[in-house]
Amino acid sequence: MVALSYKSDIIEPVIHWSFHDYVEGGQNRIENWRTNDLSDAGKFGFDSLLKNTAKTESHLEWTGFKYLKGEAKKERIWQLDFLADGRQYRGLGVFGSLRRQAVLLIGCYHKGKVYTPQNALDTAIKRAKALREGKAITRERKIKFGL
Amino acid sequence: MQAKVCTLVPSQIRALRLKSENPRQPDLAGAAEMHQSRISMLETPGANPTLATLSAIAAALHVGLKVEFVRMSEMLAWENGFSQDNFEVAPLDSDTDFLSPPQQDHSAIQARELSTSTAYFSFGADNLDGIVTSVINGSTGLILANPLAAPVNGVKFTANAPVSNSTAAFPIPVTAQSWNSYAGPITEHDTVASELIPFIHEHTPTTILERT
Repeated sequence: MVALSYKSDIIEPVIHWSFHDYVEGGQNRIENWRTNDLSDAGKFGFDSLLKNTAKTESHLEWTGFKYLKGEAKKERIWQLDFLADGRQYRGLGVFGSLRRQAVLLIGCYHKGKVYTPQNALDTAIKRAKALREGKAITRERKIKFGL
Repeated sequence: MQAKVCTLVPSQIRALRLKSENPRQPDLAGAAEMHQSRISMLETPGANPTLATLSAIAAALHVGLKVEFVRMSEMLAWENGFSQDNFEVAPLDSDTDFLSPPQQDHSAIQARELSTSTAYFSFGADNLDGIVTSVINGSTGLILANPLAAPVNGVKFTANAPVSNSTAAFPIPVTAQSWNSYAGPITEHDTVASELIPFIHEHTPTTILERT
């Protein structure tokens, strides 16, 4: 649970989860995706999604949440869906070693079974393994609360 | 702004469904006469349903739907304070305020009933002016008001005849306006000069409302 300061007249939400970005070669892969691949509407949607999700205690009740099947299931990879610009975006992630820590591995969008980037699933699996083996680092994503 | 609304509305639908008696998507889909995939889509952050669709979902969940424009700061406060975990809306069958509406304040009801009537009251204007702003007679439906006084609590009393300090006595027809903007009790007792109260009682069987 993260303690935050607020204006006194704002109801203080309880923050249950922290979100972390996958960092590779010194590059924050999630922030890069957010900055370079998302429109303004997409950025706002992504930010709002994480803001709301962080306040929802049970991950099974997160909106847009679903565990992946197939090869990704072995790494317990999940997806967090959101819509923007007529596209179905997905943040793929895993739960971290710390309590209520979610790690975003890659951002992508998909149409049918086609992901953009095409190797998004493979990349997510590779990154999840690297994380599990302690070969990768993460950086906590700052989520803005308050006015 | 759209991102916030389109994130929290799906979150609300999901919260209400999960807390309903039939928490499965197919159940809600059946009640709303939609496909289950549509419910899934409506619960996806970023979904942008029409008001008609939201109304159908609300009806299926047996809750109401309120859409209103507000100040930006109010919307942000709503977003910050919103918690899917804590979001609950009593469905119709357990909405006690709907099933058994709370008793409204008696004086307010009387006032509303009187709002279209015209009352007459003989009174010394010199005594009245600047002292009494409003008095409701609960038993006979009389409204006594000082038309020269400023509106109180959003209620404006207006005389239907000219009134001045020089008027020695009058039956003044007075009507109350703007009742719709005032739902609370009439609380003007303490603006009535104490020496005036017996006088009012003497002339009419008035019940002076107490300040609550």
